[in-house]
Amino acid sequence: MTDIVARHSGGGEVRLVGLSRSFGTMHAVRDVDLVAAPGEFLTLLGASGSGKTTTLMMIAGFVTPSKGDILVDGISIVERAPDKRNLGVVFQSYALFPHMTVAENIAFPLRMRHCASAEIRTRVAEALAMVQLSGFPGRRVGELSGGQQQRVALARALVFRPPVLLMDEPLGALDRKLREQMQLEIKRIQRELGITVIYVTHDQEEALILSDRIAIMHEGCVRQVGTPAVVYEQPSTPYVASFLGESNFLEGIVEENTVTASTLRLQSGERIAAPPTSLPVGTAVQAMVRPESITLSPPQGNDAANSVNGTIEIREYLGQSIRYFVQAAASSVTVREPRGGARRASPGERVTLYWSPQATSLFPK
Amino acid sequence: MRLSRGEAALAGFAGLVSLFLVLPSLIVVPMSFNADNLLRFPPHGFSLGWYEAYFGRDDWRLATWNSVTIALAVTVLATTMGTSAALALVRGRIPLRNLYIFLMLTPMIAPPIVSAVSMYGVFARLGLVGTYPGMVLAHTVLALPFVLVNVVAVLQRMDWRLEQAARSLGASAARAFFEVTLPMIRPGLVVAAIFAFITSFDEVVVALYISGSSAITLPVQMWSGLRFEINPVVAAVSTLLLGLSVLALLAIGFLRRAGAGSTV
Amino acid sequence: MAIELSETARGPDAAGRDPDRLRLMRRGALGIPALLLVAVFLLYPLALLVELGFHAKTGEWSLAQYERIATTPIYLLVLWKTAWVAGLVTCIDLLIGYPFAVALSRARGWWRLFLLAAVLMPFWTNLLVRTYGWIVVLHPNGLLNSILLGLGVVSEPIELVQNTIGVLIGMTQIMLPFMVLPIAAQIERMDRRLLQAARSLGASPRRTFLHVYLPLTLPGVFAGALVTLVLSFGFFVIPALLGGRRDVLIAQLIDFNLTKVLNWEFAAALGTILLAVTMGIFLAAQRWLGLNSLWTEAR
Repeated sequence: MTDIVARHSGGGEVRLVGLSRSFGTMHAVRDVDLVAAPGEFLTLLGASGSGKTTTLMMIAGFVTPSKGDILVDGISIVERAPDKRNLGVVFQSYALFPHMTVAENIAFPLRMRHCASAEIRTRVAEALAMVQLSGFPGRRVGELSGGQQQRVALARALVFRPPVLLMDEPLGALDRKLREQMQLEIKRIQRELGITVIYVTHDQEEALILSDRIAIMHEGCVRQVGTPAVVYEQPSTPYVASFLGESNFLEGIVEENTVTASTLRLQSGERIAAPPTSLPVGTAVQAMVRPESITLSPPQGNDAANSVNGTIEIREYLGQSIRYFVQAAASSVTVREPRGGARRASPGERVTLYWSPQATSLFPK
Repeated sequence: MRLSRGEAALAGFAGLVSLFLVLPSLIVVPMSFNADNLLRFPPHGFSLGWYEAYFGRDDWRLATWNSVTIALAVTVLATTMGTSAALALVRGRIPLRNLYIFLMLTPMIAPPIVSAVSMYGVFARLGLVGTYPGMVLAHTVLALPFVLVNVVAVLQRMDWRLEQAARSLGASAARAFFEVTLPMIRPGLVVAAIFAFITSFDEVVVALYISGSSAITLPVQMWSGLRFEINPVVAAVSTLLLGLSVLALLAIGFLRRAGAGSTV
Repeated sequence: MAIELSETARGPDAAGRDPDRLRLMRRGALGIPALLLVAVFLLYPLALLVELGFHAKTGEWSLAQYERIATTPIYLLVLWKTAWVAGLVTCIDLLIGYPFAVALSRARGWWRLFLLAAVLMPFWTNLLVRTYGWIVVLHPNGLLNSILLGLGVVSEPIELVQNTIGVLIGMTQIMLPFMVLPIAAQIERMDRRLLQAARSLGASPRRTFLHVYLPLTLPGVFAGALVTLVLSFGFFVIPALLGGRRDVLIAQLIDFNLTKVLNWEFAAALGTILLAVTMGIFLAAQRWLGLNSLWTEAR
């Protein structure tokens, strides 16, 4: 186990090669190839049943893969028992030992590694300080709040300085304010320690906030891996586009293709522009535009913008923004305007929707 | 608290039934202080003579000692083997699992007289009749299903992620069991151990056959004292045993409450 | 169809192999010692017993023992009486136990503790102690007769021991907890909102009880009746101590044939019948109730 120690100052590299697990005919994880660089915060994002937790549990050693390999800093760990992998794991339910105090919980991994008791004391104190629970060593687990238990679980998983930290939806049980606080905490600690984190969640906002890169999983496969900006602004599949944020899909056919732009003819008749595409003319496509990219006011400046006409169906006041459901291009288009936007419209009004061609993503059907 | 007529009738009925359940046990207490040796209620006079007889006579003392030592050995053996089997059932894979469960429950399902008679045949051939080891083995077999059912129940209630957490932190499977799982199921284990003890201590039918003449247990001794004519010492013994039962019940009630707190 | 599998999910993969098989089988091996013990010291003896019943006294393989049972009225009477007593005890315990279980489920605080103690204590009291207690109560000079004589209800003591009535009374009390606890457990598990729903839909309390409450408790009733019936069949102590010479039930017959007459083969045949009936009832019920009924902590 001591051979899996961080080569770099904080984190180790995790490499998943062709990792698969099926249960009967149900493929929970299919041929997953992923690399988490040392010190990177990589999130596995997906809905229930996407295979993200099963993947994490294979890395941790609690589920045996059907196929594939798992390497940490180049060493294959897939044959090792969970206690020999030296990875920190934070479970969804914290899994703190109720019959031990906070300090005893945190000391547990150090005891398993036969550390001297003086060293255990120092390192437990350090770990408590890191999660800002220095006053709590003697407390019983049952006396702690959810957020405090969360932090103890984190301290326990980090005290033995593993090269990688695995987290399985750790913030799911916390309320919103606490969750946001803990997100900041986790990010801060990760940056400080430089540790590699593989994080599992279904909450896309959380993934966007925390991650250096996000891997979106669906039905056992990784659909796209990239930085939050790339995954959000340049989704590679309609599924990824609709999973992150809101999206509008317009059906159409590629009419023209040049080096600078492509033109689509929508099913409803309008023509819109999109970035250049490799898809041949005549391909049936879905054009995706995010609601916040669409405005009701004509754009300032010279860039030609796409425009379609429509009627406001519903207007929702969301505090920070106003959301409109507009009947346009033979479908219901969602539009988001900031509250202080130039123009307010009411249900029933006829409006024109404008957006930049650059903000359009194309997907073949 | 205003009760409807129906509720009051039901409660009254329950009270009567409670009396029916409890009276025959409690009635032995006054009988034990009977001054003469005639079976008569209410008893005449007051005397501790029967208690003296119990503590004074060799055969009663030996029978008690046998019962206690055999029951203790059975407790240790049945609890360890039963817990082992429970772990195998809940966390491992056993081929033909349902068959295994059925076979392990046979001692509980088979009528005691049939078990006793069949065991006698084999035990006699093995020279185990009338021996401590023979009694311990026979009673362990009888106690195992009770331990198994109890420990399986408590293992199923436990959050397995705790053991996984221990593994992820570097504990081997054995260490994780002893450091994390065992403390968490301890109350359930104690209950199972008490079951095992009482199963052996109170058992009479199999004991009648296997205890022979050299491993006589307390129930066998009492049986002799009831079979043909009523030996009043039985009243004294009964009172003492009653006290023991009450203690055991209280202990279990207390442990169940303690257990509920830690295995949530 | 895609439900997120917990990290403890196990099973064979698409190719039919189970990656966890070895690890799980190693843990499964923990169950071997217990099985060995039971197999050697009970299952094997039981098998020998069944086998022995198929031998004549002279040693050759035959159905002589069973023929003897089938053709001798006395033995058939014993079997009939055993079944009859077991059935009667079960019915009486059902009639007494069901209302008691309902009362228990409604009880709160001290009253509940008292009722619970009452139903659990027989479990934890030595059977011989309870039997002795019944002897004291039912004896001609005992409690019941003293009261009846004292009140002038009867002029002579009633015979309540050394006969079937004594056996019935004793067994009814001994078996009662086995009937009450499964029913009470089932009532505990019942969703009260179903009763509220019935009331809101217009059912009177009586109809709610008949059409909702009662049916929902039936699994517990079956479990309790099953245990009571099975235990009553093979019961030995009470019939032996409270019954008279004419009240021999099958357990005593087995004992008699083995210890007094030394007719092993006959005793074995009788034992096999008893075992078969017990196992039969148990297995039939498993088909209906499933093994889960055993994991309830009724005891």
